[in-house]
Amino acid sequence: MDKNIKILVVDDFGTMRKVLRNLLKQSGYENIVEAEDGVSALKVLKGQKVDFVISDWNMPNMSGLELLKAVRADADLSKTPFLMVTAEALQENVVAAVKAGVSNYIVKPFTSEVLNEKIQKIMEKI
Amino acid sequence: MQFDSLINKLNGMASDFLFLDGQKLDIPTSGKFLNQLDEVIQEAQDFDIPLLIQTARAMAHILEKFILDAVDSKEDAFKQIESGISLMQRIADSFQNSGEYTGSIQDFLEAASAISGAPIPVEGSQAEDQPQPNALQSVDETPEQPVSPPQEVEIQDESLLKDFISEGLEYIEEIEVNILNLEQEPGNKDYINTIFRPFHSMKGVASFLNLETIRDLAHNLENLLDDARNDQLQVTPPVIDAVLDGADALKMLIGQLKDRLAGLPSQALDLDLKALMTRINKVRQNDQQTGKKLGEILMDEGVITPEILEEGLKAAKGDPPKKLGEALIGEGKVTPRQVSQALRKQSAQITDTSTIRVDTQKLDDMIDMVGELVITQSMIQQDIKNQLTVDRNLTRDIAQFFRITSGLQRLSTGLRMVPIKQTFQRMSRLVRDLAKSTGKQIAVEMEGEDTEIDRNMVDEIYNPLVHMIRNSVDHGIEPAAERIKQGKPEKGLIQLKAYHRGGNVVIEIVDDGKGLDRTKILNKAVKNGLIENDEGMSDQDVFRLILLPGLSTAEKITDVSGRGVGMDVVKQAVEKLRGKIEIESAPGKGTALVTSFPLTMAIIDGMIVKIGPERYILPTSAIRQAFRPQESAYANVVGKGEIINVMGRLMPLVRLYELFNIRPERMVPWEAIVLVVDGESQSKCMMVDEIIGKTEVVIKNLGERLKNLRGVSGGAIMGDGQIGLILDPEGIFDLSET
Repeated sequence: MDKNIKILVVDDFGTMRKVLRNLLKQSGYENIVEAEDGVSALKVLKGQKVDFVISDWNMPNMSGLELLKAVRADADLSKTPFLMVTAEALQENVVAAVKAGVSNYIVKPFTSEVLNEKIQKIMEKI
Repeated sequence: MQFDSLINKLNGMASDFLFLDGQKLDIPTSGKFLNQLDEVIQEAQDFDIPLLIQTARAMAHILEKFILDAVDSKEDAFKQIESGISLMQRIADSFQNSGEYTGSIQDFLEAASAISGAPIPVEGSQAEDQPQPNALQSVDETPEQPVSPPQEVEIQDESLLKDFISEGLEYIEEIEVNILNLEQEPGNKDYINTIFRPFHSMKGVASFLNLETIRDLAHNLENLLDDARNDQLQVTPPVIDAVLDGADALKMLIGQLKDRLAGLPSQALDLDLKALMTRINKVRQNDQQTGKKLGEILMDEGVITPEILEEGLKAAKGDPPKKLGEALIGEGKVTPRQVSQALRKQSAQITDTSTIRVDTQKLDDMIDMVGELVITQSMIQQDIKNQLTVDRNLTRDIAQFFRITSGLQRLSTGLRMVPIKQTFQRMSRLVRDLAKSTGKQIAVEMEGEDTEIDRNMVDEIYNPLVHMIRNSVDHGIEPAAERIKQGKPEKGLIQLKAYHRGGNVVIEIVDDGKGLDRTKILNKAVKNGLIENDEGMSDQDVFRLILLPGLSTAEKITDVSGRGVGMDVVKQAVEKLRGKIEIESAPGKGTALVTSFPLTMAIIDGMIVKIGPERYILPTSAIRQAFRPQESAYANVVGKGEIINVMGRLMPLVRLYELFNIRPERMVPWEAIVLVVDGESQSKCMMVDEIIGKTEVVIKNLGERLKNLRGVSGGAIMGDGQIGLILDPEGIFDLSET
């Protein structure tokens, strides 16, 4: 599949963004943009074409769930694949994300293989 | 006909499902089904069909487990959902045709709960969906995701660790500040969230970087805060302490990591992590066990019955949601008094044995009383001196009594002392915020944050410190580009230092910015008519000019230090606290603002002076020197009044006895004693009969009626039990000029 897709990484913790970037790189994804919370992520999404969003759940200003809802509610963005990163597979959170239309979720910590597999699975379907 | 839309919905689900095969039931599709089930439940509730609601809920539970990858067999789950859809279709059809459904759904419910693990509801019961006991539990043992990444070597790159260290330390600082805020307002969810989030983020990253200890500690702290966030835990002092200690420990762990990265030998940590984590968990569980809910307490007391409680809980869940107590009072089931008693019982359950909170007023009163005790002691001491014969036993006992008294005094002043750390942390936060808004890069270093000051001083010194910090950020530190041009590090540095010197606590704010500009200050001062020229003025003298009103040299008015808030305000505030401010600065190197405050506001170092039969106290800090002048040093200049030549400087002489209408023992200066006293803007000589000695006195205010007495700032009880007035130099100068 196309490893050149543009991926938006959203996390308030700079180190975590770097970790994700490294993991993505290991699987061959190099085209990565970053945002530090939901609000700035939306700005990025509206300013350029992004093929895939990987977002943390817990962020100030606008949480991952709120970002997801905003993306799904936006006619131009609603089809964008959205992978939610959570710290634990907390049933409540996961169900909320799934109901809001998340493409899949991934639990920290994960390896680049697992991440890649999730991305591939999601991309295959569209 | 009324069931048409419901039946259509169910038919839609059925055909959607038909086109799937079990393997393709992916996350987005599951989400779609969950939402559809929610809609079905909604309509079933409107039509009041409990059988349908229960079936739909049982299916939702299976789907949720399916999403979490927590079902044993995907195939079984899939089949069960399929049969659930057709069961729902049958129920809806039957209601459409006959208004009832006579079949049983018990078999389905049992099979469903075998898959989802959710409790089996009683068929047809109207009860609200019980929350699943495991709804909040995390199921991180999902087989697909290994708990620790096997490829640590790849990720463990040094730059990531470095990032983690610096970002982590920043986070901890933020946590510390917010914890202090939380302590003030234990119920504030925003504060809890701002503390929870960084722990949570740190845990996440630590898990990637294989920093297991940090991960576990952060995880424990996160859980504690999560409970607080969800109202399962009250934020009590032990909780605050545990979080603070946890943050400290994290800081140490990160520090250790930093050392290791720098190739330094790793030092053994003075830290019992296991004990700390046990404590955190204990704090967490203690509350859960002992913290009975309000309803339970009211029930135990026999105030309400379980039925009333249930009704009350329902009412509390309404829109807008109310607290249980409010709801019960609203329904007239309990009196406000009963609720408040129960609440008090509830909070009494959570007691901490290591610290107690005491009303500051009580503490202040106690310290005052100890002050009186010390004074009484010195009165006794004087009385004994005046006795001709003294009993030996009495002398011994009194000596012992004195030792106890001074011990008590030391202890009691210590009670009110707190480390300046909290204040510094607020300052450091301020620097960061200001740096952000001015677009400058500034680091903060703290030194001596364990230095203690009187709790009552903390609030008082806050504002002056804020102004000084603002000045340093705004006028001191240069923008990065300019700093690079100057060959300085790009990032500016502000140091906060605190230490004790004599009876004072000294606080320094040191920046490595551009320093004060002598020429600019002089020009402005001349322009504003503050001085005529700079003849004979040292750099120190010039810098002191910025403390005068109306001298702000900033060319640009920014929202940071603004216009009105000049250093003169700072100076006034500092002096109000009987403090002093000094300025050191070197062009291009930076500026140091050195303030010193008395350790406590309640006691001053005073010089007792005698005029005629009266004794007065002058703050020692205001007295520059004391001497008996030569007759030749005295002059009476027409138009200027009496002056004394003090080592080449001519200073006006103030005869205190004239101002206070007393008959002095000595009328001529060269027989009396002259004190050179500093006021706010000038120095004058004050004439007294003699100096009796130095003493520490507890300041008492003179009460409402004498509040505005000029020249006197307060009173104190002296060693012999008499009252001595404390003189206010500035006020005396004013009096002498009118």
